[in-house]
Amino acid sequence: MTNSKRIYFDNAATTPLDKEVLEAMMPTSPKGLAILHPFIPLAEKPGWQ
Amino acid sequence: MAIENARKSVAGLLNAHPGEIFFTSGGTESNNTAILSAIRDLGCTHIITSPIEHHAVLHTVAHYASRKTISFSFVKLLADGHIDLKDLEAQLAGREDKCLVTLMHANNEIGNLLSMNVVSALCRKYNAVFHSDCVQTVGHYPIDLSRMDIDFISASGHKFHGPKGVGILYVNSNVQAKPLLHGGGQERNMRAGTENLYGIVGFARALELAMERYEQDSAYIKKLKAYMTTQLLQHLPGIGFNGDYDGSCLYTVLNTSVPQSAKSEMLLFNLDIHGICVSGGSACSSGASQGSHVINALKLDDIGVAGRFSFCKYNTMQEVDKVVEVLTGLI
Ligand SMILES: Cc1ncc(COP(=O)(O)O)c(C=O)c1O
Repeated sequence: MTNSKRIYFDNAATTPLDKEVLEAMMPTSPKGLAILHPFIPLAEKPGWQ
Repeated sequence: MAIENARKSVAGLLNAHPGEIFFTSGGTESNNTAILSAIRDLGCTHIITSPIEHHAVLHTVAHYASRKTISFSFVKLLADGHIDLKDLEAQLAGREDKCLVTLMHANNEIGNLLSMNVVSALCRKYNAVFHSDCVQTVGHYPIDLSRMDIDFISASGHKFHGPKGVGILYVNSNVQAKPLLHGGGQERNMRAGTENLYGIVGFARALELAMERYEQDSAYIKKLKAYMTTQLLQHLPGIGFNGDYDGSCLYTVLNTSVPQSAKSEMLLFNLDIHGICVSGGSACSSGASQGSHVINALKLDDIGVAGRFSFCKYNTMQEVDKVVEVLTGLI
């Protein structure tokens, strides 16, 4: 994960995003977000937005 | 659905109730919300904090204190940078007005850890509200909020391999808090604005992974820190460490201090030229050229040039060797 030429010892500032985290966030991944279309069931809508 | 699943998962991992978890844009917003709520909704008129808090707390406290309706005081620090708990108790005991105590769980520059249960007991004893900026500990330590009597905690996703721009505010179910942002009814009226869906899902996944792998990752990172400490002591006579580095301290942070000299003044710059990214002070406001307010507050007799080395599971022993070699050549 760490770039081979650079050494990153600044993880208290920010850490690299985990691949598995990114996968979970991807709408196209099978493990990813289940609902991304705005046409979600009425019961789940928070009301007028 | 995705947001509520994420909330349930985060609440489960922190042993809180899902209704106590609110998603925000990160540590800064969570700290701001908690401090405002303690003043406006819970009637706190005095804030006790420390001079080594993150600016997301210090500047917020200063902002509200500038209105003159509330006051604040700093708790004393011990020589190793820990909070003087006797002074905290004396301050709480000496006040008639309602206090907010806002003290970070772990300091982001020197790594010192707070005795949360002691502070929480003091806050309960003197009827004070307790908020803790847990940005450096959530995702790095198992946190059991059911056993930690606290009103608010703040956390941020990008500190434990989650996405940037998302965090949480935990609000104890006994607390009646109102929002910082007004508008829509999202987050059960606690945080208006369309939710950062991707960020929230990422936050929850990152916390799940961090807790699943806590034993192995923390053991590995502890070894890296210990190895770097011994290597530096062996190869760099005169090196010192800021904070309680081998005591009650984050296993992810090692704050070094090298004697001031023409060469060491340029240390961070030279490390950068060698492709080594570290921070001198709080990197969250990187680019700032003033010295670190944390190191300054330690009032050390012998102020060296501070460098914060902070590790994660992707770092290696070889990288430590390389950094020690470069440092030896630079000083
Ligand atoms: C201790 C601490 N509190 C608060 C913050 C701010 O969090 P965020 O970047 O999520 O706003 C940081 C760093 O970014 C931090 O290290």
